[in-house]
Amino acid sequence: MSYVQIDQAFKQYADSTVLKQVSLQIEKGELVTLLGPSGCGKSTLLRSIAGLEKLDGGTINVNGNDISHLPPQFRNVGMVFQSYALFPNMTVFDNIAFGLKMRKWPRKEITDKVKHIIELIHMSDKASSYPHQLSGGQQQRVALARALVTEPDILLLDEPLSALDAKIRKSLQIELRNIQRELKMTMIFVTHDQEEAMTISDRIFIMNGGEIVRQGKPEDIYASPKNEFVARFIGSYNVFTSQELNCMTGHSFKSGNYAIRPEVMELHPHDSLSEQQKSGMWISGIIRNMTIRGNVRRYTIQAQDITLWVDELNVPQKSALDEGLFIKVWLSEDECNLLE
Amino acid sequence: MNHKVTLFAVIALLPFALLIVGFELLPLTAMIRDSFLADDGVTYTFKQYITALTNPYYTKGMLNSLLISVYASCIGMAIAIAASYSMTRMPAKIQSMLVTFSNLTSNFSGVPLAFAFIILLGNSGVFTLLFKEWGWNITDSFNLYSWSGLVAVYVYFQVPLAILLLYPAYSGIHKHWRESASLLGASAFQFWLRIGLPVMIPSIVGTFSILLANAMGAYATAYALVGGSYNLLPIRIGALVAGDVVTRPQLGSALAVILGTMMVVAMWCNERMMRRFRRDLR
Amino acid sequence: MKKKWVHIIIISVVFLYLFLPLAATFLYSIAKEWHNTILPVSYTFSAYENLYTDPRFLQAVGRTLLISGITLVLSVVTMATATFVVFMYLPKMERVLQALVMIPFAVPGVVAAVGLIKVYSSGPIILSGTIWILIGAYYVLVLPYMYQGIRNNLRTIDAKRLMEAAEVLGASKIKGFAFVIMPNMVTGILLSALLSFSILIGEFVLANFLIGGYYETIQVYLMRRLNENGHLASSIVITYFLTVAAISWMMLRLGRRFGKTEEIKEKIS
Repeated sequence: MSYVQIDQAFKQYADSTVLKQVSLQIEKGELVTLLGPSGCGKSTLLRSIAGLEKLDGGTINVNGNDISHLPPQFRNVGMVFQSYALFPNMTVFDNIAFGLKMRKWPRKEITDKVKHIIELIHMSDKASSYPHQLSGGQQQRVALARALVTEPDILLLDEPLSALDAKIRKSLQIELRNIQRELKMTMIFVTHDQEEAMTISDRIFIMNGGEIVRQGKPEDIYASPKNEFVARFIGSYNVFTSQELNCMTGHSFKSGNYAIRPEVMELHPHDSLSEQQKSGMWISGIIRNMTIRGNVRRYTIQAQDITLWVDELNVPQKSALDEGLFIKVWLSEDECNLLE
Repeated sequence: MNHKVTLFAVIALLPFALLIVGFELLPLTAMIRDSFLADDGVTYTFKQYITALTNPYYTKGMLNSLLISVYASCIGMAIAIAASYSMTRMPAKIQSMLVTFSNLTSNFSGVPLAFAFIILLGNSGVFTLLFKEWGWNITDSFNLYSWSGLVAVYVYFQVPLAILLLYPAYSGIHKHWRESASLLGASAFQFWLRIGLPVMIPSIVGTFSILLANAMGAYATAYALVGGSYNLLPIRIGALVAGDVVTRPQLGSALAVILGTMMVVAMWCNERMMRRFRRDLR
Repeated sequence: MKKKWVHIIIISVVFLYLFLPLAATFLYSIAKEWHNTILPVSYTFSAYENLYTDPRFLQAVGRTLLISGITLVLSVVTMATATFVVFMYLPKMERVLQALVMIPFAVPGVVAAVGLIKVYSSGPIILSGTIWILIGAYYVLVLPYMYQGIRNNLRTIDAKRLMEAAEVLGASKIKGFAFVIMPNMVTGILLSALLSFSILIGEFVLANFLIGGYYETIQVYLMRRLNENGHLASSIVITYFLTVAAISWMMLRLGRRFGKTEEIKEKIS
């Protein structure tokens, strides 16, 4: 049996089913992400693990114990909230010590333990500050420390970084990952940000409409999205029907939907002679638009009535192509992923 | 587990429920029931309502109450609309000072307020005597213990309340709206006509209905000023229920129900306006 | 620039109107001789001396404090628990609770008095003539203020989230309420209680109708002495007004402290 094992988790409200028989397994020391658009059930699943929501069916096992019916205070899970939920009447120290006090630890041990973890999050000079005196990033680190200090079997994080600005978010992602590896803590991280999920996770569970639609390592999911929802949600995949592909390339594809990553295509001048030398498919089109996305140029190409995106590295050696230019797009047949 | 929660909830809600029933719901229903009883307190009848609505003594009281409330509320409203707009044109520090002062004076009502006006404008009030000295007999045109005096005092307790309610509404008019309206070619007048006023109207109507209810239910101010001598609905009710002469509690109940209904109608207008306001926001 | 003067004039006139009765009352309370002049001719504090040594006044203050105190304790305890339970666990009941506590807004003092006298002057429970009928009436009178204050407080501190955090950290519901929710509600409750208190010490109608004959509160005392001695009456008014001002000042300070955390909360969400 896996360290965390959820079987057939089922939950419904008056008029809608939020979790449809969700099952998943997580190994000890893993950091997994529940990723999906808002309303997909990811937060409900997380809150059910914490005991803050009651499941209508199914079981949750952590570390060999069935915790499905325990009230939250006996589940030995840690949780970090999006709004941090720090206790405003307590100092940083008291906030972190709260869980240990509830577990009736001796005072001396509480002090040592809390001091140690405050050092781990680099906040020793803020131990006697109140939450409202801290920045958002600092508050989130305290919330993390408060959840970690009781050494829970599993740490749940509900969109913990989404209220922070991009820069702090990036650095906290790395810090979180480091702490997780150092403590070998099992973590379940909920987010709607696919980039964040790709960055920090060992494994990703993508949820949609109360179901897990895809699970796997970040690189596997990115390389082969398997279904249209994942392809559209994970990245800016081009998704075409077989008719559209046939129409553009002149080949005949097996019927179904296909996903093509924008960076696997190449742009060539329409009068280029490379057509004869390079094997693969060629699509004629016109450049409608170009935007710079950091280190990538994204071209919007119109080929007949179909719009496609092509990415190209933004390097100074190669100057950008003008809008309105006629162009040829090269595409390898292997890069067309047939979706379920 | 669920039973435990229910039990806990019941225990937590019980004292509150007992007090609410004992001192709010029970008296209200008893009063309503009483208003449908004849003077003997046994037979059911509409007689009290018929008396209340046809006897000129009581209809006059209702009319007076309604009139004084409408007058005082209109005047109070006009003053408050001007004053709170002027306030928004002041520096922030002065604005917060004025709000604090309005807040303070909004507590100044009832018996103390009536007394303050007696000192100022009563028969031997400071101003009355002073003006007499200067050759102007103020009592010729103004009598504190009558209609004009009551309006002056009622306006006094309406103004701070109205300012407190309206002032935030002005801050609902964003500076950017005015800026973009003027960039689009609207004059200040056009801005207020087409954007400012429509946005404020729910708050204005809402505030007005609160003022109306506030004035209609006011007892202490009028009682301290004119005793039983001026015919107002609340004073009539008071006299019927615990008056010095004859008490007719059933008729008093009927009048109280009528007054309560008038207040509820005013409040209901307010609620509706607020709801419309929110729908606009959505 | 011309327009600015208009605003200054409007404000001056309006606030002068609000200020004059107060100022006159104050001057009257310290005036020894005041006839036909703008300001009194001579001053004395004897009205205050008389007032503060009048046992009848001190008794009235004591009575008002006693009644308001009992009412507020009753209100804080029952409203805090009721509002909390409904807010956290019975959200569907919220509308009912709201309607119940808003009724006093639409029921003026005289009307409330009619019903209370009817119910408690005969029948199984007779309370008229005791302070309990007034306490009950006052309990209902301050309901809307107490409810709004506590309710807003619960929302501001995000009580649901805090309770969840406490529970996940191993606290039972009762411990969570005691160690996390309660300490964060103290300021809000204090604010509502102060507001209610300033309303109660200015209340005349209910006191007069329900037990005025037997039991003189400050406002009833003021009413009785109004025509007897103007200087004394004005010193009562000023004392009352200063008390209200002091309470408002305390509320402002408390509110600022409270407001700080509120702002921060807003920033987070």
